[in-house]
Amino acid sequence: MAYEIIDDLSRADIAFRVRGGSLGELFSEGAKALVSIMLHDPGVIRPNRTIKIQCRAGDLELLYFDFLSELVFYKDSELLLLLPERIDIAESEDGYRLACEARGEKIDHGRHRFIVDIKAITLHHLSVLKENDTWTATVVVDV
Amino acid sequence: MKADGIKKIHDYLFEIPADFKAGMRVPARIYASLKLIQEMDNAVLEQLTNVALLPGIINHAIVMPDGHSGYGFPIGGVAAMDPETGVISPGGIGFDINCGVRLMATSLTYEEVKPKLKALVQALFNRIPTGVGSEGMVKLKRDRLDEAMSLGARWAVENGYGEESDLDYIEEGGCMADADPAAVSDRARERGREQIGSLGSGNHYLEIQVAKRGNIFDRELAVQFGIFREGQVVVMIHSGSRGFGHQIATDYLKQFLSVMGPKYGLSMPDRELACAPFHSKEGQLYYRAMNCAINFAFLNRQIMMHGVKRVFSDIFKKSPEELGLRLVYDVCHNTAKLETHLVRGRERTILVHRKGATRAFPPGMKGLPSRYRQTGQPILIGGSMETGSYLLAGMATGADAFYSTCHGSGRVMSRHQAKKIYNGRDLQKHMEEQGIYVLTSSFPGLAEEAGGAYKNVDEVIRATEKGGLSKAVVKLVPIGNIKG
Repeated sequence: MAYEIIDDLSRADIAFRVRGGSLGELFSEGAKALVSIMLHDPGVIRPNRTIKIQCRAGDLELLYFDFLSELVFYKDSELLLLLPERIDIAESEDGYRLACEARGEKIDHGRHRFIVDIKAITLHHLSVLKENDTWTATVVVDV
Repeated sequence: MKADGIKKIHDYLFEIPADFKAGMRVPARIYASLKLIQEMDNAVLEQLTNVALLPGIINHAIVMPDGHSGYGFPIGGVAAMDPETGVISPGGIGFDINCGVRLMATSLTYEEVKPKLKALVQALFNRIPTGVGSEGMVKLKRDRLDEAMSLGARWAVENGYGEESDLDYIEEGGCMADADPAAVSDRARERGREQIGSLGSGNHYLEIQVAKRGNIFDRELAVQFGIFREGQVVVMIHSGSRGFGHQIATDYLKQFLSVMGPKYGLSMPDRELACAPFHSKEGQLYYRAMNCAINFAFLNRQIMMHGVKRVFSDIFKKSPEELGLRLVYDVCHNTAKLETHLVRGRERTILVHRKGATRAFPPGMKGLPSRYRQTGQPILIGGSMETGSYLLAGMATGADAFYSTCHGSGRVMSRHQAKKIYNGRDLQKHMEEQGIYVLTSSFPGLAEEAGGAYKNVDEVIRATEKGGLSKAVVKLVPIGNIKG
C-alpha cells in the first residue's frame, strides 16, 4: 500500500499517511514511506546488512516516532538505508515493545539518487489510529 | 490566516488578547502587515497562542513577519522566559539547532567574478560537501569531537580553520559557554561525527551574491559592515548543526514528554511543546546539550568558510587577504539564549527562545564587537535563491520583541505543491538565463526552493522596518548557488 502525501499539514516540511491491515504492516509501511520520499527509486536498496531495532514506548504514537527515528539515525550515523524484514509489536506492562529486523545497504550515490533528506521525525499531528480493521498513521517529517 | 479577533496596534503590529484562549498567560503579538498575516497559514494563530500558555513567558508570545506554521512554536516565533519560574522547550528552538547564516565579504566586483563564475561555482560544489550522505570536511573521534562541541568555532580557529579575528564576528564569539558534552547522547555523536563541514540539504545553500547598484539603502552602515561599493561580491552560507542537532532535539523531546506531566505537573496541548522547568535537571541537561549543538553549527559554518576561502584563492590566484575575504557576521536563527534585557524597567537575565527568528541587537548593546558597537548588529536574512537576501541592522525600537527579527522570507507553498509547479532542471535553466548559476545534488530539491514558493522577501523586510525590528542596509542578489 503506497503512502499518501498530505499537503495541508506542513508548509515547510512533508506530511504523509500510510495504512496497514495490522500494526506490523503499518510500521513497515511507515519505513517504506521514508525511503520512498527520500529516493527517486526505493527499489534499488539491496539487503546487504541486517540491523536489529528495539523500541519501547508508553503509547503507539511514541512507538511509531521512536521506530522511524531509529531509521533516520542509521541513515546518518552509518549511512544505511533500511527496510524492515520482520516487525514484532507487543503490549507490555508499561506500554508497547517493538523488535524489528531491518535490512538494507550503505548509501551508494551512483545508485541512490536522493530527492530530499529526512532529518527528523516530528510529533506534529502524529497519529496512529485503528478504524474498523485498518490501521492508519499520519506523520510529519522534518526535511 | 483569518484575522478575526486580532487587534491592530499599528499597521505592522497586531495583538491577540490573552482571553483568546483559556490558559494564555500573556497576549500574542504578530509583527506583520495585514497582507502578510493573511498569507500566513491558520496554524500560526493556533501555535502562537499555544506558546502563550508556556509557564514563565514574559510580556508576549511573538511571531515575526516571515511566520509560518512549525512544530510547537510557529517558525518565526519568539518567546522570552523567566529562567527562575519558566520553562525551556525544544519546540521553541527547532530540530536544526543553530541553523543560521554567515556572510563573507570580498573586495571583488561582479565584473571581476563574472568571467569565472561557472568555474567558481563548480569548484565550490566540488569542495563543499552537499546533500544526503555526504561526508564532512572534518571527521573527529570522540575526544576531539567533545572538545569541538565545547569550543565551537574557536576549535576550528585553534586547529587552523580560520583566523582568531573571525571569532569577533560570530554571535557569542562562536562559542557558547554552557556547553557540556556529558549531556549529549552517543547517538548524537554518531550522527554528527562525519558531518562537520557539510552544507546538508533542504533549504540550505551556499550562495555568491552581489550588492547591486540601487540596493545599498544605508551607505554608512554598509561600509561599516564591509560593503564598500556597488557591484561588490559576497558569499552567504545557510546551514546548521546537521544530524547532531536533530538527534539532540529528538532525544530531549522524548525525555521532556516523559517527565513534564508526572514529574513537573506540566501539560501542553501539543506534544511538540514538550518542556521542562529551566532550572530542573532535565531542563539544564537539554540547555547544555543544545549549547553543544549551537557550537557544532558555528564550527560547521567556520569550516565551510575556510573551504570557500581556499576555492576563491585557487580560482583567482590570490591569497584570501588580497581578495578581501572577511567574515561580516554569523547569526543563529534556532536557539534559546540567556540574554540581558530591560523587563518592565528592570535589567534582567531572561531565556529568549528564537525559532526561525534572528537576534537583532541595537547599537550599544553588550555582546557586539567594537566595529559594530555604534551600528547595531548585522543581521543576515536568507531569501529565496531567486529573489535575493538582505543585510539588516538591529534597532533600539526592537526592545519589545526582545531584539529579534525575521530569518527568511517564509514559505507560501508546500514543498509538494512547489514540485508540482516547478521542474528542477527547467528552473536551473531559467535561473541561468537570469544570471544565476546554480548546481544542486537534487533537482526535485531545487524545485522545492523556487522563488515562487516563498513570500516576497522585500515585503517581509519592509514589515521588519515598519515594525521597528531592523533596518535594511543592503539587498544582496544571487549570481551563483550550490544546494544540497
